[in-house]
Order: sequence, then structure tokens, then C-alpha cells
Amino acid sequence: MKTKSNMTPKKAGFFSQYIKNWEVVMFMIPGLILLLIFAYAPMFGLLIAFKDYKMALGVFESEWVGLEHFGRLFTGNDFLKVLKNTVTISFLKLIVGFPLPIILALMLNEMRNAAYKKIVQTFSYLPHFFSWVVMGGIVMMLFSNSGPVNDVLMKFGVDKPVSFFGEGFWFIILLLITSVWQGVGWSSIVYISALSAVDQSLYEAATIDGAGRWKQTLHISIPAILPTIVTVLILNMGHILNGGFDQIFNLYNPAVYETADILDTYVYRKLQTMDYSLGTAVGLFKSFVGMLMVITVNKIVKKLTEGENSVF
Amino acid sequence: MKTYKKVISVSLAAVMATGMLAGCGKKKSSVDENGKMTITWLGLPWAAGMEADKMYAKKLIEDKFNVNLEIINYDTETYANKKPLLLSGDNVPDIIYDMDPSQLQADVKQGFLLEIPYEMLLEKCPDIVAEINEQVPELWLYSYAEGKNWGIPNIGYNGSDNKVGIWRTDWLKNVGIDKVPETIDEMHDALYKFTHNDPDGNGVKDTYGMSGDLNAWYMAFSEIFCAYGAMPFSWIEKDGKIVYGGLEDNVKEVLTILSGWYEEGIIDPDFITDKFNTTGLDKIKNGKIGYINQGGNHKTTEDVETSVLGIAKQINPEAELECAPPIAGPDGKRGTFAWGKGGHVNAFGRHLKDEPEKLDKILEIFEYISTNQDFAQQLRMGEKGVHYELVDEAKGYAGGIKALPPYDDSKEAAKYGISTSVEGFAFFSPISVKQEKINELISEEKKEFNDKCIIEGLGKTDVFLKPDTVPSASTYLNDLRSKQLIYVSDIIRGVKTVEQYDEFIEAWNQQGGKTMEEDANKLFDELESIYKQVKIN
Repeated sequence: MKTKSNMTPKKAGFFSQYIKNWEVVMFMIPGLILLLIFAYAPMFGLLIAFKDYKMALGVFESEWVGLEHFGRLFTGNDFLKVLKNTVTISFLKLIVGFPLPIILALMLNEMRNAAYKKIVQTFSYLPHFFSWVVMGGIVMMLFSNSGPVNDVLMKFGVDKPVSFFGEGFWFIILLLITSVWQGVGWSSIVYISALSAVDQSLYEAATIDGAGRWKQTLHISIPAILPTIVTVLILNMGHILNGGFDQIFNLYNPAVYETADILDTYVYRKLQTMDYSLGTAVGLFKSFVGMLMVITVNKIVKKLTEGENSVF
Repeated sequence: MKTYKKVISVSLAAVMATGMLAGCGKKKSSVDENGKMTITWLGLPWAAGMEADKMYAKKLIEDKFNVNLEIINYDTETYANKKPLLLSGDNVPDIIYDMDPSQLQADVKQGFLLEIPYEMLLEKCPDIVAEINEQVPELWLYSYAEGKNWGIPNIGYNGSDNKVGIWRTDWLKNVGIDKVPETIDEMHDALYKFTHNDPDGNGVKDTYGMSGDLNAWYMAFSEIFCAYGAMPFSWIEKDGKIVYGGLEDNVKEVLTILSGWYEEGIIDPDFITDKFNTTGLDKIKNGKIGYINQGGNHKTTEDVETSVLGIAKQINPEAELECAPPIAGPDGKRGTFAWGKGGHVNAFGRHLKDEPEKLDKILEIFEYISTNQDFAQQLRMGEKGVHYELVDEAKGYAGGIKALPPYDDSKEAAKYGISTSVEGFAFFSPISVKQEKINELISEEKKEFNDKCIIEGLGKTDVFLKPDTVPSASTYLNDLRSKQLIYVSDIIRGVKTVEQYDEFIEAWNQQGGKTMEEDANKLFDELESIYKQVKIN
């Protein structure tokens, strides 16, 4: 608690600071507006998770129903199964999909031929820009029982086509392969830019000290991008309940519902015309769990690195 | 640092306030200075390429009825996303085209729509009412919610057609069968040979008898289920009660047969991902499968090159295809699922309550389209001599229709909303072109196909046309149907046994199926009172 005598000079300071730094304030405004419109204003909408939302009445006039929509969600028939699937799929995606962009970035960093590097980078970004509606068609063709992937596998002595779309296990493998294919290039950008900021003299000094490429990577490149890695990891934790709706929705079929049905696809099936309240309740639940994960992982990181690499 | 934070929070508050003040529009008056009425019209969202200032039908209606039309033309996806926003805003359209009874029910629940009492329809639109009563009285359920009527449904005359099977007749010949199979046993024999007797003669066992489509439940092995009288995804009438067809024993009977076929290698394992109108059809063209159940004709004289047969021939010049009506089961039963003659619903914005003249005008337009079939035809096809001409003047419409340039380019025709066909639906077909008119315009080629493959009564429909018409279906049916499809797919693939289908039945009973069944029976009873109100005896 601050004493009154402390408050008065502070208040004067506040206004004078505001005026004194008006240029800085101006710079802030566009960013603030964006943040307000796209991040804060929609939060009003969260109210409808607790209301029987009727569009004609509007958010404020609709009737309060308390936690009814959450009840509907949590007591839904397959909720636990779906939650388990979601967490499994997104953890697997994290385990497989998180290190690969880092490795790709480190590998590209070692590339001396700039033109070749550019080409590889471009090609690895490319799938990121395809919509899953298109990708879904391509993947289904490639991985179907009579598709080229199975043809190759059969040539290598697999006796029976692998049913990528028919068996839960293989479907998850397929999800992992395709999500890495789509995401690896794009996710590596942030690491590549972090690597480009590393002071080149460090490498020169290391070379003089007799460090090879491997030792340079291990002792210069990786420590240099470690803060970035940690930040990205913490932020990714926030998406733990997003299993990747677009991808799964465009690839799955009744044969793999048991393993591939995630929270989003489940709600999609339940979400009938204009049931926005349930949709919002799910969104809120996902954000809440995401926030808990971010805070927890951030705490752990803070402990481990003594406050050096945590986000906040 | 602390002071900066305060600076931020004050700016925040300021911006927030401005944001909240903005965003309230004004409803503009719908009658202009000349007393001309403006009707806002949210139509069928299937005409993405149409351009408002080029639309032929729009001008036609505007001139005929001395009104202005303001068109809201969405594609299917924007329609789903934007329609709710549109309806909740200040400018609710006068005519709201709802695709499904479940959509209409949701709109009613949200309070967007105006009730259109049956008496009003009987008085203002007697011809429309009579046509629905005669053709497909169940259609009144499409505009029915909470015990009242909320719009005017339209009829899809070809919706009750059965689906047709496409056979590779060159394969049939290669395996020593000289006629297209007509019964389930003949079909099994042919499909078995397609898989095992190398029908394409390439010396490699790389073919399958058939594929299916599990993603579209309304297609999923529909012809085989119907051959045994099963309707696995529909509400059916049994001893005067409404029950869900998926719980009947004949479903298990068919699943046993299909799982046997799968084990014999007849069914392509890709049936779980194939789509009847894309990848499945491609497999027929590519010579991967020899049979598939699907919707349309396989060859047309109009675009020989790009028809199914045309492409199949480009891949293999020997390819021959033939369409056939559904195969017959052991007791002679046959058919496929059909949506029935139900179409969509024209509903009306609630604000029209205060503008009765406008509602009258709209009803007048609708009734006029229904009673003047030449006008209805013109709305769809444009003018003869301007937009299209007859291929053979002597034969009349039977000889076929040819679009005139620039409308012969399908993209260009789409801009004007012009088509060479009057079947099905279009943006400006609130009232569909009637069957007699369709028969008048039908080409010989189409007629030949219809005579051979489309057989009256073989399109098997749900008692409510769309199973989702039952009010509580929007809560339960989608989820339970997905569950049912898991069992269907797993049993066919041998992952689960037929006995395990009972697990689905149990889930059905526990997870809302019972409620739906009660609702279905209630709705069925209400149908009687609707019939009384629209004067059907």
C-alpha cells in the first residue's frame, strides 16, 4: 500500500509524462487499436457462453443460463474420449513437430550456397500456404490404398497396403507426417532469423580455437537461439487443445473417428445451426486450459533457467 | 515504467469508447420516391458467379412487377457464415432462403422470421398450395416449426429419382458376362470376377469390384441396403409408428453380406474415403473399379470429351460404360435412398409484419411464377433466340437446346444466371418449374436415359423427407449417425462383428434416440393437422 503523500507527486508525473512523450503515445496507437479490435473487443462475446444467446435479442438482452453450456459440453457422451484424443494428438504433434524446424533452421544455417538455401527455404514454406481443403485431396490421393505411397511400400516388400485412413495408428502417423510437411518450413523462419542475428565474430573466434562445425553449432548456434526456442515452446503450449481442426476434418472418416475425433470436430458435429453459446463455451474452455499450460510451463522454465528465458 | 503503463490504460479506455459508439446502422425505407418498392432477396447460395447488374431474371421480375430487387448472393460457404450475421443486423432481408427444415427451425427459434398462416397462403397462393398438396404434402414440414407455418417450401421434382449404377461393360465382357447385372446374385458374381479374374487384362491383380461413399450417408451402399428393404439412415413407418430404420434387423442382414464381400476383396478398401461424385467416379474412369452407385448420366452428346465415358475412353480406348437402375434383392425389392421432392424454404423477415403490402407483392410474384410456367421457364433459361436456340427446329425441345454466344460459355452464362436446364433450383426459383413443363422441355437423350434408369417409386424417401426434420434431431442425430457410420464401416471391414451392431443400438437408445423417436411420432401426428389446415383430405 502506498501512502497518500506518495500518490500526489506521482499523479502529476503521470500527466506530464503523457504529454512529454506524446510522440511515443502516437506510435502506440495503431498497435493498440488492432489489439483492442481483435483481441479485447471480442471478449465481450464471451458473455454468450453463459447465456441462452438469441441473435435477435443481442448479447446483453439474452437470458442468463449460468454454466448450462459447459454442462452440456462436459457431460456430452464422448467428451472424455475426445479430450484424450485431442491431448494425445497435439502432444505427439508437439514432440515430433517442435524439434524439426529447429533442426531444419540449423541445417540451413550451415548451408554455404545462398541460392540453394533460398530454394530449399521457399519449397519448405510452400505447403504452409495451401488450404487443407486442397491438401486433403492431395494427401488422400497419395496415401490411399491404391495410391503411390502404398505402391512404393509394396515395391519394398510390404505385403499388404497400409491403410492410412482406416486404422487409428496409421492415421495418427499420417497426421504427424502431413502436419510436419506443412509446418516445418514456416516454423523454421523464426529460428533462421534468430540465427542470422548471431555475432559472426563468435564463429570466427571458435574456428581459431579449433572448434569444428558440430562444436560451433552446439556451443554457439543453439545457445544463441535458446531463448527463441523457449518462447516458441511456451507459446505452443497455449494451443494444446487445438489438435488441428482443418487438417483432421479434411482427412478423417468414420473408420478413424475413435482415435481422430478431437474436441473441435466433436463440437462441429454437435454444433447445430447457430448454437453459438456452446461454441463459445468450448472456445473459453480451450483458452482457459491453454492459459494454464502457458503459465505452468513458464513457471517451470523460470525455475530451471533462474528467470532468464521465461516469457514473463 | 509504471507511468507508461498508466498511459497505456488511458489510451485503451479512449479507444474502447470510440469502438463501442460506432456500429449502429439505420434501416432505410423500402419505398423510393416514385412509390417503387424495394425487395431484398437472399436467394439460393449456389450461384457464386452471378453478377447483380447482369442477372437476367432480376430484370425480368423488376419490369414485370414494377419493383426493385436488392440481391444478396452468397456462395455456399459465405451463406453459412454470413447469414446469421445478416439476420441479426438491422437490414434483415425480406426473402430469406433457408436450405433445410433444421435451419428454418433455428431461425424461428432465434426469432428472425414472420409467421405465414396457412389461411393466408390458401387465399394468396392457391396454386402453390395445390401443387404441394398434390406432389409432396410432407413438404409442409419444411416450413413448419413450433406448431406454425413460417414460409413457402419449394419442390425439387427430380429429387425422388433413384440413383443409378455405372458399370464397366467392357469389363463385364472380358470376364464373360454378356448383360448388365439385374439381381444381387448377378451383381455379386460380376463384382467377384472384377476383382479376381483380371478384367482389364493387364496380368496384375489391381482391380476391385466396387467402391462406396461413407462420408455421404445418403449414398452409403444405398442400393444394396434397399435391395433388402433396409433404410439404415431414415425414419420409416412400421405398423403405424415411426421408427428409425437403422435399428431394424435387415440392416444387420446387409452388413453381413457387405462384410462378406469385403472379405472376398470385392469392395475397394478405399470405400471409407472415396466420394461417389469425385474419387469414386475417377476410379471408374481409371479402371480401378468396375461399378459404382451415383447420381447422373455417364455420357452426354453435348460434351462428349469431358463426360465420364469420354475420359474413360481417353485412358483406355476399349472402355465402355452403361448405366443401370438399382439391382433387385432376393425378394425383388430394389431402390436407392432419395431426398424426395422436398426442396428448400422461402422464409420472410419478421419486419414484414409492418409492411403487409410488400408481403402481398412477394406472394403475388410467387403465385404468378407458379401459375405462369412460361414465365418460370424464362426466369431460368432466358429468351429463346437471345440466350438459347433449339438444336433442331423441327424436333422442338426434344432435339435438345443450345446456348447462344456469349452464353455458351458456362462462366458467362453464370454471370447472367442463365442455364439450359429448368430442373432443380436456381437463385430465382422460389417456386420450381413444374413437372409438366420439364416434360415439355426434355431432350430425347435425357428422356431415353430416364426411361431406362429412373423408375417411378425406386427413390426411397424418409417419412419426413430429410431425417433432420425431426426437431430434436439437431441435438442428437448428427452425433448418433456418425457413431452408426463407425459401426457400419468397422463391420464391413471386419474390425467389428455384426453382433456388435447392437452396441450402436444401445448407444442410440441411451443418447437421445428415444427422445428423437418420440418427437418423430409427435411430428407424424401433427402432419395430420397440417394436412387439415391446407385442406388435404
